[in-house]
Amino acid sequence: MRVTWSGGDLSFRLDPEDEITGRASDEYPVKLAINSCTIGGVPGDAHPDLFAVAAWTVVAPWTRRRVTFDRAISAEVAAALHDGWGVEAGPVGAEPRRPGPTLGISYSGGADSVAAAAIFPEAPFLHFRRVPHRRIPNRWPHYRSDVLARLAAATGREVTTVTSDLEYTLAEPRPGYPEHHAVAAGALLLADRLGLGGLGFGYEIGSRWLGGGRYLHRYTPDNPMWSAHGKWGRLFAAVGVPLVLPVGGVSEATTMRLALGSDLRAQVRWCLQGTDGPCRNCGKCLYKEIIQAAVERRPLDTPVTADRPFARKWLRKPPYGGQEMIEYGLARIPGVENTILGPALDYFEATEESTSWLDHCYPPAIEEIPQAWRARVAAFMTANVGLMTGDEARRVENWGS
Amino acid sequence: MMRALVPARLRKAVRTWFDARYISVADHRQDLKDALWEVQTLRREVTGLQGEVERLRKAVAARPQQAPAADKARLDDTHRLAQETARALDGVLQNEVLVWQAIDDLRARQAAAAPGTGEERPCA
Repeated sequence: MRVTWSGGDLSFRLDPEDEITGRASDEYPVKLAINSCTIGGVPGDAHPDLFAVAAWTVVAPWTRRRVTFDRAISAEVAAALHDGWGVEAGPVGAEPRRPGPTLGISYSGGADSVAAAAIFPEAPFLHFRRVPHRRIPNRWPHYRSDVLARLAAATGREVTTVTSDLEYTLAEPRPGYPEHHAVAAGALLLADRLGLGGLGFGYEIGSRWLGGGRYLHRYTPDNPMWSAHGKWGRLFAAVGVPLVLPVGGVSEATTMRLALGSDLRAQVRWCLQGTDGPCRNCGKCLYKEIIQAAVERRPLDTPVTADRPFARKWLRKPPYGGQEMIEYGLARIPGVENTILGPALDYFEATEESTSWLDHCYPPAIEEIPQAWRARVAAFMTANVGLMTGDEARRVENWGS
Repeated sequence: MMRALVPARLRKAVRTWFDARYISVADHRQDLKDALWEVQTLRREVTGLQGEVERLRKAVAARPQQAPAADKARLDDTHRLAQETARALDGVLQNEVLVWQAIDDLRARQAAAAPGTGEERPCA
């Protein structure tokens, strides 16, 4: 793989051994659509390691043996790429970047990143806004990134919005981040400008510890995407922007509760399609409504019917990503047996007691937060959430086994 | 009551005069028959008009389905074409990546075969 930056324009060429179909860090096969993208709203003079890692968040799935950057990188970044992915990276010849003093928050506006933001009320936001790719027809106009950017700007925080079409480098399964970390590509390039010494994400216990999303669906202490000592954690640390997961030890029920109780409540939006409010009629809205109804202990309020494909997703036989929140909902939503979620009761024997661990914080998640921000998270979790007991922590550690 | 003897001729004249001022029972019968016929005719007409209204109403309701049927075929076809074009473009763009990969490979081989003559250009 050979990478070239021109300002914020990234282009890359495949080496002979590289192929159109690659694999993301969660082993999911991804197909390349095009070998160029643009990141707007970023400076052109960032540290060369930042350019390298920003590019790597895009090209990693399609790189087999080596990656050649257009400017020299530090030996530390080359080593992180070699140890993590087994690729030869070069040329080498730059001094490593020193971390700054500031924690930035990669802010999407969803409940999870709002909860992370609530723990750090002074942290500046970095918001990724999708824009169309000039060479790819936009078949996804219902994705309202403009609405989310407007909400982010309305938070009153210091917000830096990065515009990018990098999601269109992915042909299959659909446009999206080639690696989950590509959401941070712009934030990395802004790290020098904002003095970043860490980047906070809203990834919660499901993503970090339970192998959620499209990953293994079992306990993953060595998660390659999000653990501090995983390959991505080490790579981000090598450029002085370590991963910080302030809500990595709590469930989506807890992030929902924290987000709706925070100053940013009015700006919380998980729906990517609604304009004046959440559309209530998409898969995301249904899933989050299940969580919100459970948290507020009220009946499910959704117009979604069981014949919608995204509704059927929650009626499958487990395991699947997000399963812990379905169990949580089944145990807490009044009259759930008469809702579209009713059939899921066949697969679970969830009770409030068996799902109470999802109301507390998994202590090892606090341990892996960089020292500069650990005490704040520990204090916040102790005061607002409560730590898991030994039994509860074992629910995490036996997940999926 | 006072009764007075009135000559028959005069009485008849007065009675005739009175009778002329009123419609006869026979005429009344005929009038009623005519009115009834009129009502029945009107009833038939109203029924016919109601049928007509119903027919028009159905025609109006049927029209939005009929007209969009033609539109829908066109829309479906446009949608299909857009999807197929976009998919085809995906292939073209992927081929472009592969063509550059092949060009770079050839260049590298040329440079290796005849050192000094090949010129490797950075990408893009």
